[in-house]
Amino acid sequence: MSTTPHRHEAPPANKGLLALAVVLLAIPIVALLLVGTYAKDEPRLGGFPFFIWYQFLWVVLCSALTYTAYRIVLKARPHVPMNPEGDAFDDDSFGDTREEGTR
Amino acid sequence: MTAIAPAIAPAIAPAADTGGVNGVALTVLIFFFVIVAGAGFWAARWRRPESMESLEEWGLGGRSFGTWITWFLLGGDLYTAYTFVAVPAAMWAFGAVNGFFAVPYTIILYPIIFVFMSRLWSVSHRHGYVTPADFVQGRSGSRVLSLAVAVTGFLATMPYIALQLVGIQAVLEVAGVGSSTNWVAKDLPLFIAFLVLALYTYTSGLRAPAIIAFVKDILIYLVIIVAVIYLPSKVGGWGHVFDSAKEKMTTTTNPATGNPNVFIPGPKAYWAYATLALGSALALFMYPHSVTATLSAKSRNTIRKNASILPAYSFLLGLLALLGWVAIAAGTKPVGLDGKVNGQLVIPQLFEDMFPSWFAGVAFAAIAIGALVPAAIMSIAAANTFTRNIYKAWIKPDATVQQEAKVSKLTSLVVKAFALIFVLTLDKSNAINFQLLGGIWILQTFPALVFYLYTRWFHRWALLAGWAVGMVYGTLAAYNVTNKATGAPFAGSVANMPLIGQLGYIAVTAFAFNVVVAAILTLVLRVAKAPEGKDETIPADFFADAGDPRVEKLAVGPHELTPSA
Repeated sequence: MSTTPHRHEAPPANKGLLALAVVLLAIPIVALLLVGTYAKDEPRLGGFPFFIWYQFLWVVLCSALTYTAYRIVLKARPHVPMNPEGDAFDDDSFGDTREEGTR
Repeated sequence: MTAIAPAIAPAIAPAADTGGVNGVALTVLIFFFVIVAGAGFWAARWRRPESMESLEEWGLGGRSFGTWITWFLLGGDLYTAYTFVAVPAAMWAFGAVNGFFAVPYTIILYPIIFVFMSRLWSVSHRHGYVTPADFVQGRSGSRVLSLAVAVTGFLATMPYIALQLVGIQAVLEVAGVGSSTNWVAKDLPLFIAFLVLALYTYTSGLRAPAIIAFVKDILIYLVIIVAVIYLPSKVGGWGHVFDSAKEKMTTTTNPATGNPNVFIPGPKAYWAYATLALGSALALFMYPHSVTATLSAKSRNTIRKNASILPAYSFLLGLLALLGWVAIAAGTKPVGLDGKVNGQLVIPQLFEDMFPSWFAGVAFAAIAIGALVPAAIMSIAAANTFTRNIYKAWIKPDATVQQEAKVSKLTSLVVKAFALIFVLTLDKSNAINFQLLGGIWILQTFPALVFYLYTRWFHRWALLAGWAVGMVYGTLAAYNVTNKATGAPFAGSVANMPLIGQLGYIAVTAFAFNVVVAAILTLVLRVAKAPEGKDETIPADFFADAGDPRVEKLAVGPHELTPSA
């Protein structure tokens, strides 16, 4: 086919932003796998041992971090529609979709 | 009903009234079941397609579900009735390592799937893949590797479906249905429940669990929120709950493993707790039913958006796990109709003891309906896997779309019938053992599925060899965990990890062997210039979204790649 390698490849991305998203996603994983940092009873909070409430806290933190990563990824690699043959990205419409950003 | 094994239940309050049928609770339960059955049949008309006769429609709901439907569907799919019964049961009997690991597990799950699931969605959308093995076939060009992934997924899903029945059984038993003497009276309710489930899954496909998931999740949220607010105040507050749990956990040991029970993990349990969470999180989205629910989403980013709102269920699961400890403070006595202590009954029993009958009925309905949603999705996913990756790939390569749908619908019936027979005729512990093995097995498909989303560096034969090593090691290691009390194999999912020398989740150790073998063999096969398979994907496929043109399947279908089939 007459497609240039660049268009056949992934759409362009801001590598720095992608790396930032990966860091945000890695934080809760690392935090929770370090069991020794939170496997203790005290200080209790409303009767709940630290071990319990700390992990509940991470449910909320992880959700917030994942949502932030989602917003960043949308910015880092905006969607580019494919051409009608479906074998490459449609560079012509690249300019339009970048404004959209939320697809 | 007083024959209590002292090692399992050393400190139990005077007997609660477990005998007799709880009429009010049972009526409420039946009421909700009828509503749900009606909704299941009605689902066939919901967003009605021109024809249900394709896997895209029957098996994936037309790939049309938006953020909220996907949220309910995935929540209903991943947080199963068995989870709701087994996690608090484990907390009640053995403590935090066996039970509460489910919380970190379902937290780190979401960053992990955030990373790769949207790529799988895009490439599946482009090429019409319905199962994980479809993708592995298209990407690797290896029918054998694809078959390995398909068979693993199928085998791992089967006991999971059977365990949903165990969840319903637990509820029925506490409600007083089924005497242990009369086979027909005991099993008939379960039989009817599954027959109705099978029929509406057959007619409505994935649309049925999508609709029912709404009812299920609303009931579950309602019940758990009421329970965590109301119950602790009745037993003396959360502080007292944790003190009671601490007292029980620090004074008892697990009779099966000989390990002490755990209130808060000590240094020796850190690895076990972390690897159980990590291994389970990596494995969950390798199950065909998780992939089915994901692929039914209508756009690439639905799953990513969901990764940030699904943790609401993890919060719920954590609270539910703590109800296992509330039951300790409340002195709940989970005695089955056969008079034996059965930890699986602890949550339904707690609800029956503490709630008015009508609300206990609502709680029972939440658990029972909670079994129907995953059972439906799992049977659909297992049926799709059989149809695409065994029937079409090996038996009838020129099957039409209509024939695929027909085979899949029939298979979904067979799968459920098999699960029913499995639970009714064999000891329940078989289903639990196989489920444990299934978790170990399914993680061994991770390299083939997830690595291929990023790279074709790994050679297809090396991935196959790594899979085989992981499967064999995992099975043997799990077999060798013997029950110290009875001598039976498959007594647990943790074993000593080589090199590290601590207890760890067997699936993770097997996975490590799997990856190492795959990497080394890849280097060897490269040197030997072993033939690479044909890749039908292009890099752009992994970023496609709704609206992008789909690949014409006739041009590069799997059968074209292997003309000799």
